[in-house]
Formats: sequence, C-alpha cells, structure tokens
Amino acid sequence: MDTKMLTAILVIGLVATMAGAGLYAYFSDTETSKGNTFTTGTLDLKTMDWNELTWRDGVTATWTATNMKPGDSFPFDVEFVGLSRSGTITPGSLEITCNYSVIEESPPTEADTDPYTNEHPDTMAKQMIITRFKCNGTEYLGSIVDVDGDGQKTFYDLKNSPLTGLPIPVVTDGGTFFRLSVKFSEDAGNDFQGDTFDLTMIFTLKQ
Amino acid sequence: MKYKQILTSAFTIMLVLSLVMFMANQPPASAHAIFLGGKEKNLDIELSPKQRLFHPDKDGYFYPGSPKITKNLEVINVGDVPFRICRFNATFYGNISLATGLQMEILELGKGKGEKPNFLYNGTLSSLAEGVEVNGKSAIPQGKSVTLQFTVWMPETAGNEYQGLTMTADIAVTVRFPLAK
Repeated sequence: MDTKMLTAILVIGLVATMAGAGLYAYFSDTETSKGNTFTTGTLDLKTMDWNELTWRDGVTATWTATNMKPGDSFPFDVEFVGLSRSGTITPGSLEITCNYSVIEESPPTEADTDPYTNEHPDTMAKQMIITRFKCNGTEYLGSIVDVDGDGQKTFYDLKNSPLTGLPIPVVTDGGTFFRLSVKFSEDAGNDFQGDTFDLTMIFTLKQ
Repeated sequence: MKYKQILTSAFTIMLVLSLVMFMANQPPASAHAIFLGGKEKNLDIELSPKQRLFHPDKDGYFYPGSPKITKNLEVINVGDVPFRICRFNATFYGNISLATGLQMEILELGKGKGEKPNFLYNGTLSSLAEGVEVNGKSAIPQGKSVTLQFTVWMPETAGNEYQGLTMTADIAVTVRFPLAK
C-alpha cells in the first residue's frame, strides 16, 4: 500500500514538475545597448534694471510713479529693464505681457468714489496708457493690440493681448534693454483717488 | 512514522527536481545552449554598434517639438538557431523623470526597399522600464541580422518640468527560439 502511494505521489510530482517547466515555452537571449544619454536643453532669461545692476531672476520696483493725477505723464527716461539669456538652446522669440492689481488706500480717501477698485483692477488698467514701448531702440507701441477699442494702448490691452514675436535678447553680458513710458489718462476720475496700481511686467522666452 | 518519512523523501526529491529544471530554463547572459536532435545549438545574438546609440554630443538637446532623433541598431544572429525579436526593456539612471517626457518608436526594418517596416513599439521611454512584449516579423537565420530603428523625440506638449534634465538608458533587446509564439 505504501509503495503504491509513494509511486503515485512521485508520478504526480514528476508530471507537475514537467508541466511547470513547460510554462517556459521558449528559450531567449538578451543583449543590451548601454549608456544611451538623453539631455534636455534649457532656456533661461536673466534680468537687471537701472537700480539693480547685476543679472538676476527678476527685478522689482523698476518704474515708480507717485502722486499721479489724471493727465500726468511719466517718461521714465532713466528707468529700464535689461534682458539677457543663458541656457543651452536658442529661443525663437520673446513675449512681453503684464499683470496687475490695485491696492486701495486704507481707510479710503473720502473723495474716492470707488473704494472697491481692487476688485475690478481692469478699470484702472484701462486708464494707464502706454506711450512708449521700446526694445533695444525699436518702438513696438504700434504692435500692441487695442483690445477694448478705446483708441489707447493700455496695460489692459497688453495683459489681454501679449506682445509676441519680439527679437530674442542677446546672451548674458550683452543685454537687450526695454523701456517704457506711461500716462495716467485725463479721463480717469475720482474712482482712483488714493489707489495704487501694482504692475508686473512679464518677459517670457519662447522656443 | 514510516509513511511520514516516505512523504518527506518524496517531497525533497520533487523540490530538488523542480529547482534543477527551473535553473536549466534560465538563459545565461550571452547565449543559451539548446539540444536539438542530440546536438548542442546556441541561441546567441550580438548588437551593432556596440557603442551607445544616443548622446547629446551627436544628437543635441531635446526640447518640446525638437527634431526627432533616429538611430539604427543591428541585431546579428551569431548562434546556430533562428530567432525573432520578442521583447524590449530599459533601465534608467540619472533624472529618470525625463523618461516620461520622451517618446520612442521602434521599427523592425525590412530587407529590401519595397518591404515595409514592421511596427514594434510606440510609447514613452518610461513604459519600457516594465518591459514590452513585441512580435518580430522576420525569422533571422544563422549569420543574418535584422535592423531595429529607434526614434526618440519630445512632444510639443512637454512642459518646463523637463528642462535641463539628463538621463541614461540601457535598452535591452530579447530574442526567442523557437519562432512560433
């Protein structure tokens, strides 16, 4: 009885082993192509401005106008932003646009007829007229699209229709210089008394 | 008691036998000996070129929408039995997240100008990490070779997260015998 059982167990085991081995249905050989290296390029825009004279990632408070009143012009003859690029690939173009917010005086001046301009900053941006928009001596003001059709080129227009296809800045230490002049519209009313227009100019290298 | 001893012995024999058969089925690194009709045959391949296919010194840098880079790799049958291409897999080093931003297409080129290439794989490099089974079209006899065409590119939709990364990939090609799946 024991012999029969042992034989049965061995046969079952042998069949199971062979079946398991049969799962490896083919032989194979593998060779490897080693050391393939993939590297992505970099685009890096550097900035400086008239009062921060080293190349860096972003500058602050380049253009400051205080006590603006309707009709005031700010030529900003001294102020500029320098742009240069480093990185391993050559960009195709430069894009300039902006973003902005309005800071309400606290507490608001009594004459401020709209103490909530900060909630709809576009109204003030439409009164901030760009009168010069130069890159390395070339005037691009005419290239800004008058989005709202008010006959003026304002920061509202620049935000909603970025200026694209501008020449790329030269490499670091050469620099491309961007200059801006601004006028606070004569049509701006008491809504903006005591308000601060906080402008961020955005320069982007495009491939 | 005697019955237990018999069972233990039988189990041990089966375990050893299973291990021996399992080990026998593992292919060695360079070639695999096969016995056909009592004669030893080898399934063995070599790759050409033996040097790496891709390198930025020759290919330049990848960026979204950059030109596709195409390289050919010849798989030569230096064994005694025919084979088919059956699997690719890759191992990555360095900034391995780049593997998700690069696409790869692998074709098995035909012999003549009129013969269409056989599509083997199209997907991210990262998917090759787990290995992909493919169906090689040609049976490559002893002394012959098949050319694999590898094309790598970065899609226009890739973003800034891939800027300035470097990754190295070892790409493994596996062939099989017999030819039928």
